[in-house]
Amino acid sequence: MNDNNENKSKTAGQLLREDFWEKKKNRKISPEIKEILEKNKEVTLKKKDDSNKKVARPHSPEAGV
Amino acid sequence: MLLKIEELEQKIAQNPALKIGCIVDTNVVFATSFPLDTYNDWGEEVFDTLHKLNIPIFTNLNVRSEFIDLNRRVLIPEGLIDFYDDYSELLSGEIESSLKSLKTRKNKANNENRTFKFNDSDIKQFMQMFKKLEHSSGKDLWQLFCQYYLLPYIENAWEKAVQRMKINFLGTREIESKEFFDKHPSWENMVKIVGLSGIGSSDAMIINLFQESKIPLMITADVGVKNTLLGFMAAEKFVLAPNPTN
Repeated sequence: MNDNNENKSKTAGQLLREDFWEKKKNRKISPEIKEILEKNKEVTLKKKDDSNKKVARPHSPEAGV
Repeated sequence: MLLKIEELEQKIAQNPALKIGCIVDTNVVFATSFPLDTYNDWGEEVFDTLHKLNIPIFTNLNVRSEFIDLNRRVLIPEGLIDFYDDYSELLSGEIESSLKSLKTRKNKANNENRTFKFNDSDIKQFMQMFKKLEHSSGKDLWQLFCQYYLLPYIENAWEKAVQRMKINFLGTREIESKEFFDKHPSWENMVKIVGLSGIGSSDAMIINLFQESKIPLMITADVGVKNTLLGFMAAEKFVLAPNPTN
């Protein structure tokens, strides 16, 4: 009842703004998104590591040095 | 005649014909419903004044799909920035660099007092990038992003805006009832407006609706619609738009 009275005294803009910020505030971390990103980070770091290893071998026999 | 928000109340008192009602376009409805829009405060003041003076507010059904599309173009980049902030420690590679660059672009728009919007090609770029990553459940990252960062905001956005802003619709029944119309808006006149002004067909449709109606006031936050109206509308009609400094 009190909420209804309070809402009646607010403008349309105020109510819509409150809805929006309430949703933003209550957003949740998704375990599925977290899992995807963790896996992707692992793959990216591994690729980077592999590529660094290649660069760090200037005396390789393949290079004829 | 072009009206400013500061003059609206006084003009309505001087000109009782303005009590018949007004027509609003998509940009006004959107600006008032989206807190981060440049014209949010202006829109709030407009609707507050109209509600206080009991001025009926009308629009056409076209506005509904335009409103959802505008929301999509603004809420996707907004959601991507939230996504970036929520998962920054887990991001890497292309996704991390693209989101970082998006945040810089959006901050620049904010500093220039512009509402940041994506175009279709921006949306497709992120869609393709996110779709490459899949969860074992079969859902890809784009689907999950939309589920968490777009759907909660866009779902019911139109219904809430209509309810809170007290918007009425001018559909076929209202047009044929002659209460608000002498003439029927026509395809030919809409195309003529496009041809003479270069504006889009949805904007031309609402301008045509306004022209053929007895409603004396149109409210728009779109500079193209405002300029076209000022060039074409009858002398006894009014347009309310934000000042360039709003």
